[in-house]
Amino acid sequence: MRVSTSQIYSSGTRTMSRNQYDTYKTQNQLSTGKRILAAADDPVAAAQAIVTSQQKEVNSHHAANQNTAKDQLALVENRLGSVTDVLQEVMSRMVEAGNGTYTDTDYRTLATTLQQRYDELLGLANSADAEGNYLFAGYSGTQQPFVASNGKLVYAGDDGARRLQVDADRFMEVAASGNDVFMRIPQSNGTFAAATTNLGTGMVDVASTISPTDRHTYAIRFNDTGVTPPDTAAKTYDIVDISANPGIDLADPATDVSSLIVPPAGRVYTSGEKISFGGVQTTITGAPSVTAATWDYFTITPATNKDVFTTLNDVITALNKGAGSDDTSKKALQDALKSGSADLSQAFNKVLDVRTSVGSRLSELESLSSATSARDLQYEESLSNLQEVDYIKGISDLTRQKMVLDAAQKSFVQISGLSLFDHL
Amino acid sequence: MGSGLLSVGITGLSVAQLGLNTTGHNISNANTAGYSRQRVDQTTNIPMFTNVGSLGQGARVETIRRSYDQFLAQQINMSQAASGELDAYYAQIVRVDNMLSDPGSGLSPVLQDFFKSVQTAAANPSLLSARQSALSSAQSLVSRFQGMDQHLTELYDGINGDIQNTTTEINAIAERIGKLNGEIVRVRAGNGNAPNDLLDQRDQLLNDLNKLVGVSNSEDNQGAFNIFLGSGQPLVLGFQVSQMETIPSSDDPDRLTIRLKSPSGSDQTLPEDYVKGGSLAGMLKFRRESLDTAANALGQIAAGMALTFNAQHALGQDLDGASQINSTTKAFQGVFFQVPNPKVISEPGNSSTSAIPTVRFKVDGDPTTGNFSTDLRASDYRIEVVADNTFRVTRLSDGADLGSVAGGTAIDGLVISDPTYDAANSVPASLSVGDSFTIQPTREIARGLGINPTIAADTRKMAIAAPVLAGSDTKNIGNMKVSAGTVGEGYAAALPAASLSPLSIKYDGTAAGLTFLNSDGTDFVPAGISLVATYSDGSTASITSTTGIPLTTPTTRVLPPTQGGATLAKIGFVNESSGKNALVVDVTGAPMAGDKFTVAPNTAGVSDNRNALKLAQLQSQGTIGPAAGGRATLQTTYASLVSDIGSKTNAAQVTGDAQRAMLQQNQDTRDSLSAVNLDEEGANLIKYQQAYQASAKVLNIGSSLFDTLLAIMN
Repeated sequence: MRVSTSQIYSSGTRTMSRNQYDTYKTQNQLSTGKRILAAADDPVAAAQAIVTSQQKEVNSHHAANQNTAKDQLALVENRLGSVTDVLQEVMSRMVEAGNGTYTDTDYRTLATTLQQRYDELLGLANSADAEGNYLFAGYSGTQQPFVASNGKLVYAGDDGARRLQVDADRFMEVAASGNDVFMRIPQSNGTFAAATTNLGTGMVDVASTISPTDRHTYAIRFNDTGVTPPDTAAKTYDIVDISANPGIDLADPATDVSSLIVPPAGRVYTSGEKISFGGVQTTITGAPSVTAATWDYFTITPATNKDVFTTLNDVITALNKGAGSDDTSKKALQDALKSGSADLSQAFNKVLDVRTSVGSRLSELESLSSATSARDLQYEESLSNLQEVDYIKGISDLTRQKMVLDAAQKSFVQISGLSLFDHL
Repeated sequence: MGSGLLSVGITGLSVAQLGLNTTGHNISNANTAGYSRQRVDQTTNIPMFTNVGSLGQGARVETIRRSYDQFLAQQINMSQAASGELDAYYAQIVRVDNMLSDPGSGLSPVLQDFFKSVQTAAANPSLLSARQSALSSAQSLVSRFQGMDQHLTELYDGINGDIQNTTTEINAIAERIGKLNGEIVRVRAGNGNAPNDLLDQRDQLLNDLNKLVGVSNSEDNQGAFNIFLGSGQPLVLGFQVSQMETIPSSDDPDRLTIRLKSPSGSDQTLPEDYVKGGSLAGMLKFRRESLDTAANALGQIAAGMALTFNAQHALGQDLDGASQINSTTKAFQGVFFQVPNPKVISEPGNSSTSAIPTVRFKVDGDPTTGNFSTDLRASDYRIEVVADNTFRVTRLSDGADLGSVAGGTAIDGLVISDPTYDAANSVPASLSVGDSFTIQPTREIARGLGINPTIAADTRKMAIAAPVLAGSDTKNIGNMKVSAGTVGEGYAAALPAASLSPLSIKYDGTAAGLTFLNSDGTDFVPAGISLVATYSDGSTASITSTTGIPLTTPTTRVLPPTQGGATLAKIGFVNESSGKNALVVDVTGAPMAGDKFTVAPNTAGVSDNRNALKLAQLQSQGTIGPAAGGRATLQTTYASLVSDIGSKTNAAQVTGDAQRAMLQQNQDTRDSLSAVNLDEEGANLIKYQQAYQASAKVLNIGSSLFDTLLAIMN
């Protein structure tokens, strides 16, 4: 085949330029560490890399949120731990107070101590995080959650609990609403109160009382059926549903409640025997009295919620009042301490519940965090597979391309140097 | 006899001289583009017939011929046109590819940064520095969109300029071919010999022309070339040359397109796909197939991101407690990103140039059950008014006829309507039937994207909290819990008026279920809102806004806490006209008599991050594209843009390489036949030099023979 002079030059420059481009590209890949310099190099892998890098990024958001959640929950856990300590101490002091050897002075000293615990508890409930936002105020972070209003402590926060996205489908609460921790504490049981007009020695076993399921207010009214004057000790009683008419005067024997009585009427009273109706269970001991002018009765109010501060405050008030000298006031103090203890242990359980939930969230975060970092590694690896250069292949390519370029250059110089005119 | 020898010797001398001359010409033009080597066609003179036979009369040159093959030239022209097209296409698209691939200029990193900062703001809702960082990354995101659009705009402008330059060049070449046609015809008519150098020049011009635009040519019987554009429009007919001109396109005045003006003065606008081959076709094709796609897809991502973000942001509450509920008393900024409206272009020939349809974006989705999304595609549309406020819509990306669409109906994430038409109030339509328009919904979105300046100036205005909070009463005994609540579009209508707020949901053990009461104890009867209870088994119970009159028929105005053994799972406040949830409160557990729940504005909720969580989730939720088959996320939409442009670039590169190799092959074949080989010419020089010397010797001998005779006579 005939070859023209221009062909020799053009093919020489063409091959050299192509070889040069190849080495340039390989060198570029090696120096950047990337196999894909532009999407055109591998469009599918480039698109996959974009999607994977987002997944990796989102995964790292989750990791960051997990850390924030951990810090936040650790703070909550720490405060709740202190709350538990305070409640525990209060409870043990109250057990001591209940053993009956205390004098009124001892009770007052105890009241002072408990008042300090009360303040400590309030401080903990109003504690703030590093940014100055109240920890137990729900979403109302700048609103002090526990404030005194009309001599009562009210909750000014809300039920909100901030959540963070700690995994693709997991939004974790990183706060506990003060309402849940301190306020919404179900009483151990319904209030069982002796009427102020009572004259007898009848006493209710607070600890064994169970609230009515229909949440009505009931009264246990003793009457004079089967009573032989002058023996005023009651022998029978009626159970009266007074929720529709709470103001009714049950102490007055003239008040007719026959339409409100939960059948059967005229139950026989035996001290210490279990009284049960409509979900209520209780026992009354002692001798309730019935006279011509006054009948003893006890009211049962269904259990409601009682916040820990009110509970503690009631105990302090009762302690300050002391045991007094008569049986009624001694019994009143015992009742107050009894129900106070029961309610405090409810509060304590509530805090424990919240702590348990926080603790389980913290341990969930631990396992999430190790899953997240494992995923991060996975994404990293697939990104590197997609994008990064294989150095062994790259270097061997470069060596080969260098050799080819070298050969092209040398041979070009030799071929183009051949000319007939050199010999003319 | 001696004079015969002399004359024979002279013919040899002159033939050798012509040979030397031609060889010299070849050597001089060894590097002339398109030059075909020339050869002298040497032949014997007519012999003298004598009685001893025919006596040779020396040599003569018949003609000087160029080594040329019409077929090979044609082949080169064709591959030149194809290669020119691919080269121009590749040169442009590789710039888009590089922009999209480079982490420094691509969208991916800033998009990720933006959502990361939203997550950070969600973790620290009341921290101003976290909000500021979210705002800064939003600003980087906006400037990246604008920067990418700027780059694409430069490419658009560059193509306009290139088209102008190319047509100028095409006109100049066509002009010269026309002139050469004239000269060639004249020379041919003169002595019948081929004007080799002129033919080479014309061939080379044709080759150059094919680089710019694909043409076909035919030679008439006088030797003139007729040149036609790829689709048969004459560019050169003998000496007659048409002018190629650029004019603004009727679809989009911002882009130049081509018009052919014949010598007689008639115009013909060339549809873009009539231009085949050459760099002009490459640029037009790049603009039509890749640049428009890239610009539309970028705008689609920008619009999809901004519209869904805005829709969710509008459902939030800022750090000052402002939201849609109290927007009359507190300035609430629902819009986070400023998004321009779709671009509408009135087509030439419309009866009115000023009246254009109103086109708005439409956001779908329900944040209470999923997330906001848009049906928007990366396409332009052509619409024609077929009746008052009714349009025939064609999607240009795939040519799909979307049929007749009544004004105000959403189609592909757009709502098209007549700007004035109002049948109820007898307001006539402004658009005339038969008028048509081009809609470019997303083309300029990335360019016009911005951040609400009020929010930019005050990060407290970012709506990170949710505006409504449901809660349980402190006195509740039952274990029923309500979630904080999730709001949807029009949630303000699902709440009592401010004076009657908060809404209480009460459970009275004696009644059949939950009652909904205003703060003054009256029944809560929101206009146009149904209360729908969903139970754990999926069954529902509902109270519409019109069923049940307060208190007179209480049984219809309560929602039972259990139904057929299934417990209450969700209370929805459903907008009756749209069927979407305005507010949803999730429920667990069972209430006890006397329990009370409230739904109230969350104005104190500075530590609330619910809206930011919803905003952050938009990153990994399907927000864009057709609902069928699941919408794509922002990132996957971007990834498919990158892979689309990447594949096109890759294809242009590969086919370009192949086409270049083919061109090279054709060129080689042609060069092997036509181009000069200096060694060969060197040998020819020696050959002709020796022939010259030998002929001179013949003369010398002839002369010495004559001298011998003269000496004898002396």
